[in-house]
Amino acid sequence: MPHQLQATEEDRNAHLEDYLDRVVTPLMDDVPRARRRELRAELSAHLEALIEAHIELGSTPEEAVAAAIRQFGSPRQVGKQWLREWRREQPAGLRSALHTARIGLLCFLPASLFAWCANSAAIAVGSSAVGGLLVLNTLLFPITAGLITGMLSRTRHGFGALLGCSGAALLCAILGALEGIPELVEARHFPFAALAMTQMVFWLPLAAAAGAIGGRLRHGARAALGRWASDLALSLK
Amino acid sequence: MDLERELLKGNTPTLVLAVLREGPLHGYAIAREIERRSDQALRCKEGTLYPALHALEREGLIEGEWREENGRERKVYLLTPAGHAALVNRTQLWARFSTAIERVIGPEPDVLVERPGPRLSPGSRPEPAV
Repeated sequence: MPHQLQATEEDRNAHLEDYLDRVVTPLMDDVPRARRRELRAELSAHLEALIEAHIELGSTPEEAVAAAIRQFGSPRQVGKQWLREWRREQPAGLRSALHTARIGLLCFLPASLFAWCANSAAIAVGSSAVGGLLVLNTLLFPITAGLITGMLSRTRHGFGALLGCSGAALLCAILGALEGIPELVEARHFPFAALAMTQMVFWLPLAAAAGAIGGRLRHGARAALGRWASDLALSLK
Repeated sequence: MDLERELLKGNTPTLVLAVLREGPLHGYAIAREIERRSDQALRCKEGTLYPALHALEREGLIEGEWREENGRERKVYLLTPAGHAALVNRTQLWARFSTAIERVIGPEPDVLVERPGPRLSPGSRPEPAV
């Protein structure tokens, strides 16, 4: 391709990609990547057809791109209207966050009660078991509970898990303060008592991060399940 | 004109369903078909077609599938049985609505019909009916 024509083609593609970026980029926080990619491909195909139609009518490539974009509409408006429709099928932000918070409490309360019982048993047994169990409690239970919360949650991000974890962590902190820490202090396990006091502080970020990962896994699993189901339906036809 | 744009926006889903009744089409072809059938009278910003397509797909009235056409992947939309039923309902609703509007508006108001009545001089008030 001659250099001038190639430059024109590159400019046209850059202009088109810039328009598509302006439509799709604002959707990043709400719409999964695969769906954004699909929308972008669809809009690109339509715009390419419009550009070709304008070139056939006699426009230069630059004029055709400009005309096609004018005919398509403001990228902000196109993206905004599409996002509004997308959000209609998603659960409302606060409702889903509260739903996730309820799931979070259901996951965390058993975990924290178990941790409390385990701590009490370890204190009864001896100091070496106490240390190991406290480290386990600090890491394993919030991660597991956060992961389960995120996977069951309807929110895409970990915000709901954070909400659930905050409530559960506060409750567990009170339980721990009332029961476990005095026992540790009485048994003179001061380092472990200090660790138990800060345990709930660690639980919050670990659980929220695990909740966000759980949410991502859930979306991935749902997409994979959807593809599997449609492949199965096609094979059965 | 804003009124025309609003009227078109509100009816875009019905127009899409009507066009898809003849067979599956992608977004560009849907826009062209609406223009052709309306004799260029109905032209919207074509990007706004996609929110309408998404809404119809969400409601189960159409379904989209990717197909290869002339060496290019395109998303094509088909009318579902629920979409057929919705189109029938919307067509009947539109017929009733447009008939009712025409009854209220009456014949095209290009001529001002003057009703007989008392002529008032400036500043005077009409006498109350007895």
